[in-house]
Parts: sequence; C-alpha cells; structure tokens
Amino acid sequence: MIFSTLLLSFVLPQVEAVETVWVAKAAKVYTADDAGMINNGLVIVRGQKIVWVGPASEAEVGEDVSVVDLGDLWLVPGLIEPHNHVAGGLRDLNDTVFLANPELHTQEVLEPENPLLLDGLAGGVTSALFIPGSGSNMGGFGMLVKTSGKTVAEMTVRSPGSLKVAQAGNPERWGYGVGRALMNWNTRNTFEKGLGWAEDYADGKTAWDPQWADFAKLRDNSVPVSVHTQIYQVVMTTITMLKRDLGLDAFIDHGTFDGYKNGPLAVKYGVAVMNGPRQFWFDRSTSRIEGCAAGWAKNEGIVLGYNTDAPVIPQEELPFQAAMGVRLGAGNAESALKGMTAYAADALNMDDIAGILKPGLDADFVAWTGDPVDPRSHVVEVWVRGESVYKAEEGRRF
Amino acid sequence: MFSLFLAVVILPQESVLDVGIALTMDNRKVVHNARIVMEHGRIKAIGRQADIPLPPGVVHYSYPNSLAFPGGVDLHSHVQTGGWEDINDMVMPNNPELRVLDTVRPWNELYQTAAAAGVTTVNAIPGSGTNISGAGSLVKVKKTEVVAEVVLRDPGSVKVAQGYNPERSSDLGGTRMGMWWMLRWWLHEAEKVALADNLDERPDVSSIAGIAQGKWPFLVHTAGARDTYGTIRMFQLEAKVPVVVSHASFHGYMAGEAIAATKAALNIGPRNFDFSFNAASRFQGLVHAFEMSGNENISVQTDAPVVPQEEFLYQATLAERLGCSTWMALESINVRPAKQILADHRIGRLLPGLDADIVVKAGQPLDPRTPVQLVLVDGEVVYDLHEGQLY
Repeated sequence: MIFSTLLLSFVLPQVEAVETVWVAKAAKVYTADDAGMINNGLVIVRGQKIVWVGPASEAEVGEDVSVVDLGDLWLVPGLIEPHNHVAGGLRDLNDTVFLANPELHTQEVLEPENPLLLDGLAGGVTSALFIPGSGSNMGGFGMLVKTSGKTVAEMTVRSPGSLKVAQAGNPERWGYGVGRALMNWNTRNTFEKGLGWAEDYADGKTAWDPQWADFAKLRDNSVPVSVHTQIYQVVMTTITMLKRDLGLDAFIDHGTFDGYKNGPLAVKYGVAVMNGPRQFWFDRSTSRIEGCAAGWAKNEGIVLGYNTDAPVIPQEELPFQAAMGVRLGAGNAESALKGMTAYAADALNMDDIAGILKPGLDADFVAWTGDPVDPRSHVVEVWVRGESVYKAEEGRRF
Repeated sequence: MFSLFLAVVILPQESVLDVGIALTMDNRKVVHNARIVMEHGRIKAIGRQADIPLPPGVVHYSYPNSLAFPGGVDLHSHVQTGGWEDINDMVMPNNPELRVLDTVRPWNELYQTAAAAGVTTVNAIPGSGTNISGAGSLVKVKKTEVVAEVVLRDPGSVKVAQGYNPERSSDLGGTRMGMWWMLRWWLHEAEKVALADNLDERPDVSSIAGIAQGKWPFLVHTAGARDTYGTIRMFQLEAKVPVVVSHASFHGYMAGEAIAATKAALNIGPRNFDFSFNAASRFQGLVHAFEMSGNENISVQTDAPVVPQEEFLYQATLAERLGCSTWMALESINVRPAKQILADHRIGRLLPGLDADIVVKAGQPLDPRTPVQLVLVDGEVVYDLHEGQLY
C-alpha cells in the first residue's frame, strides 16, 4: 500500500522536471547485493534512477505506468570494466617522456560513440574505467565513464576516475631500461610529493597547482589508484607501499601470474583484485595450469572481479573473462557475476552510483537470455541511466 | 617627383563612394543608392544619396551599378612573409614568446593579390607545428612597406594547435594527454601573470597573459568532434578565456549540437566539406552542418597559402554551395570574423566610426562571376580594376 501511494506521487505534477516512471519486469532479476536473485522481479525506474526493486507480487503498479515485460529473460546490473583503454584514442595512451606523469588525464582523449566502446555496450558493459597505458610508472589520471552517451559530459561519471600506476611488467622498458628499485623509489617519491602538496594545500600553506591538484582526491580516498601489477613480489609492493604505507585506496588491476600468493595480505589490508586479462598461469613447479582468479578466490573475504584491458581482450568479452575464471576454479557463477558488478563498483569507489540494482543508484541494467557468465547467453537490451541504448533486435553489433 | 609629393599633400581629407547597393553587414541592413562619406581613414557617414549631400571638392568614386560591402577579414592566414617562411620554430613544444610581427612583409605579392580579391584584414599567424606556436598579428592589407602602418592590433591572437600536426615524437606531447597537459600548464601560468598584471616583466608569457585579461583571443587549430569540443571545454568553459575555434574540420560537426550550446566562435576552413567521416558517404558541407545543428557564430578562412589568400570569398561561396544559408555565408567573411577576433569596433561592418575598408564589386560578394572593381583600406585605394586587373 505504501508503495502504491509512492507510485502515485511519481505521476503527480509536483515534480518540475518531467521524469518518466516505468517498470521492467523479468523472470530473473539479479540484484548483485544481499537480495541476490529475485524470481519474477520488478525494477521501477524514475528518470535516471532505480526507485524500487523486489518481487512482482509485492508491488502494485498503476495502470498508467508503462511496463516493459521481459518474460523469461534475466535482468542484471550493467557490467563494469575496471581496466579500459578503448574509450578514446588508442594512440593517446602513453606519453612517457617522464617516468611518472601524474599531470596527464584521459579526459582529453575520450571519444564518445566510438565503435570499440559501442561493442562493449552491446556486450552488456555499461560503465568503464578509461585509463592511460602502462608505459611509465604513473600514466596519468583515468576517468570513469558510461559506455553510452553522445558527449563527454553525458559519458562522464567521475573525472578523475583513478590514478593509473604501473609498478612493473612494462614501465621498465622506459628509456634505456629501469629496474624495480628505481621505479619503486620514483613512484613513492612522486606520491609523497603529491600527497605532501595536497596536505599543504588543505592547510592553506601553498598555492593551487594544476600538476598536483587531483592528489587531494587521492589523499581523501575519494579517487582510487588502479594499479597495473602482477607477479608475487610486485603485487606485495602494491599492497604494502600504496595501501599500507601511503594510505591510498589502491586496487590490483591485473594481479596475474603468481600474484594471488598475496591473497591473505590483500584481505588483511582490504585491497580489491580485478583479475585479467590473463586468466591463467603455468606453474612450472607443479607443471599445472593455475587459474589466477582461482588463486585469489581461495581467500575468504577477498573482493575479486575481472578486467579485459580492452583492447587486449575485446571490451564485449568481459563476461568470458569471468567465465574462464570460474572454469579454472574461482568461486561460482554468482560470485563471478558479482565480480563484474558489485565488486567492481566497490573497487572503483562507485558503489553509490551503479553496480547493484537498488533504489537510488543509476538505472543501468541489461536484459540477457540467461546467466551472463554462461558464454551461450547474449544481450537482448541495455539501459543506461534509465534509457534504452541498445536493442539486439534493431541491429546486433556481434 | 616633386609634383607627386605635392599631390599627396593637397589631397582632400574627405572622399565619397556612391554605389547601387551597400551591404552594411550591421544587422543585415542594406542601403540602396548608397553614399559612403570617408574622412581620416574612417567612415564618417553612410546613407541614401538622397539624404546625404555630396560635399564640395572631395574625391568621388561612383559605381551606380555595383555593390559595396566591408572588406574581407581572414582569421587564419600564414602568408605574411609572402610565402611559407618563418611560421614554425619547433625546438620547444610551446612557444608563446614567438611573434609573427617580426616577420611581416606588408605589401608582399600575395597580399597584393588578396587586396584585389577583396581581403582587407588578415590575422597573420604562425603554423601548427607546436602546441603554442606564437603570437599572431592582425594586419591590414595596405600599400606600404612600414609594418607599423598596417598593424591593427598586435598580438592579434595567439596560435594554439591541439592535435593533427603538433604531435611530437620522442618528446612530451606525443599524445593528446601530454599536449593538453602542457596547454593547461601554460593557461595556468598565463592566469597567474594576468592576475598579478606584470606582463612587462614576463615577455615569455605576456602574449597569453593578455588573453587571460580579455584583450585578444586564442586562435586554436583543432579538428574532429573530440578535439573541437575539447578545445571549447579547455579554453572557453574551463579557463574562460576568449577563443576562436579554427578549422573544426573532419567530423567536428558531429559535436555540433553540444558546440551550439556553448555559442563558440567557429572559424571553418580551409577544408569546407567532409567525406571520410560521414557514414552516408556523401559530401557534407561543414558550415551547413554546423548551421543545421544550431550554430550561428561562424566565419570561414583560407589557411592561406593552403587555399590561396585571394580565394577567401570563395570559401564562403563554397559554403553556400554546400548548403548554408545566404546570410550565414555573407556574414562569415566580415562581421563574424571581426567579432570573433574582438576587433568589430574597427572592422567588419560599414558603419560611421569604423575603418573605411570597403570592397566594390560588380555583383553579389559571393558570386564568382563578377569582378572586384575597387578596394579601399583606411579610405585609401589598394586596388582599382581600371589600373589593370590583378585577379
């Protein structure tokens, strides 16, 4: 009853901006939070936001409210890509004159509606962290975007979205070649300069400086550090240097090879792992193919998700990354799906924006023919901020 | 020799031009059987011949079957040396300290042809080899060898190139992230100097600090939807400095609606149409596309010598041929560019008080079939068809 009264109030003219209220109905509604899977579920959308999620039997929908009945389909939160390079110019990802370039921003090179991004959208990916490459220890600041949208402003969720740090396994190719000792010193030194500036600026002791301005957001943890890191020793440095010592909201944005041996340490310090694009590692000591995600998943309490590093793996194949993770032993289909939604949102510090179907968050969801982690499933329709932005029946992209 | 000198001395201060139709380009006002009175290089009066008596003893130009309109203002021109020379000094990625003024040859051959084609003011600028390539100079096309006599304003603008040329290999600025960061750094530097108002002490940044003080605009080489809107975002929306968005070619128009909302100053050319980026595989006129998406603040340009300086008016002809409205095309060569370069108190319209830069043509300005007959700059004849056709 309370609900139907609420629903009525939506259509009353007291709201100045006209916000459409509509309902999506599906046999399976997966929320990605504690409510889990709702059979015969309803999602009510008002304007760009979700206002109610629950079983159809608990809602009374007014006759004047339009209902999109998805029948037997699954309705799932839009997937979130934590490691994307295809939202803008591929040639503009590495400006590596210096070993650390904290002043660079991918916002400058975002290209709305580019084909690689639209493929991702058609694959159910609705949000992406668009970051610089790993040619230097700090490639610059990335931005958090919706994969749909005609303009930079429409696409932007948050800019900066993260600071891209690459600890090893690429940046050592800089110049004539640099070792981990120098790289780690340089990374730490740059952070301490930037965080020191942020502290002084907060205390009114120094002038605004465009080179360090965004470090204030790293300092207060409102923007995370996405870290290209892999291999046991390097990942350990990520956790200890960036999270434990510098207090940054860092997450592991590869974590491949035997990086998973740091599982207990990652849990202890609350560092999330977005595993990929490599999903397995050949362990010579046991002569076995080890699933990297499986290694991480053994640790209770780990926040584990997946990335494609698109274009390394095409953006639309993010669910295949999760499927491969599960196939090689990481958790189950549900934990894999949660990894691409709720857990990715958690790592990207956007859990108040999207990743879960719950009231107050953006109405980003996707109708699938079945479980997204099942490679046989395909996307039927995608909504971003309450708007239908892709319909397979009107022209499939793949 | 002596008699010639004497003739100059006794020349009357006033001159009068009578034409069949004068396009004032001020709110699209047209005067029939018009009389324009000029004094000391400025327009003193403009109106119908019936309303303005002919003063005695003046130089009188009479073209009863012709049109008069303001001289062309090309905001994107590199022929100040008479050729390609001296426009790119590319050791540093950013060079706000460089000046075109040092290279201007006032009455060079290319400017002479330009005058014969109705171009009276050019924004002489450096090339696009670096992100900030230097301060341009706003100059008149006049018969003199003295640079000081042709300068309308210096700097006229500062040239920035944001992509599609200034990318540097093996140096910072290999990508847009690097190039745009350096531009942001310089904008910040300009703002600091502008606020402290110590331009004299900082000749390295005084040209861009003047922009932060609103004295003249940036002129930015930019193209494609992402870069064109990005230019507007960085300069106009974020730094809040005057900026002319130059080229805006390729698929720049695909961001047309978002650009229209900013009322940005667009300076289109030398490429006048898009073929490659259009999904429909047809020729799309760029001015037309921007007009259709709601933009009004549009000028055209030649990027001379990319398109010859003397073909400036034809850039508007082509824009109209490819679909833009007639008045949009007419305004794109005089009043619009004059406003965009912040010089409309001097040039771009036929109004009392403004410079007497006037073109007389045997037909509509954009009609390529009719010749330019007489061109006045600051009231002085720089081209007269009777003395021999130059173009």
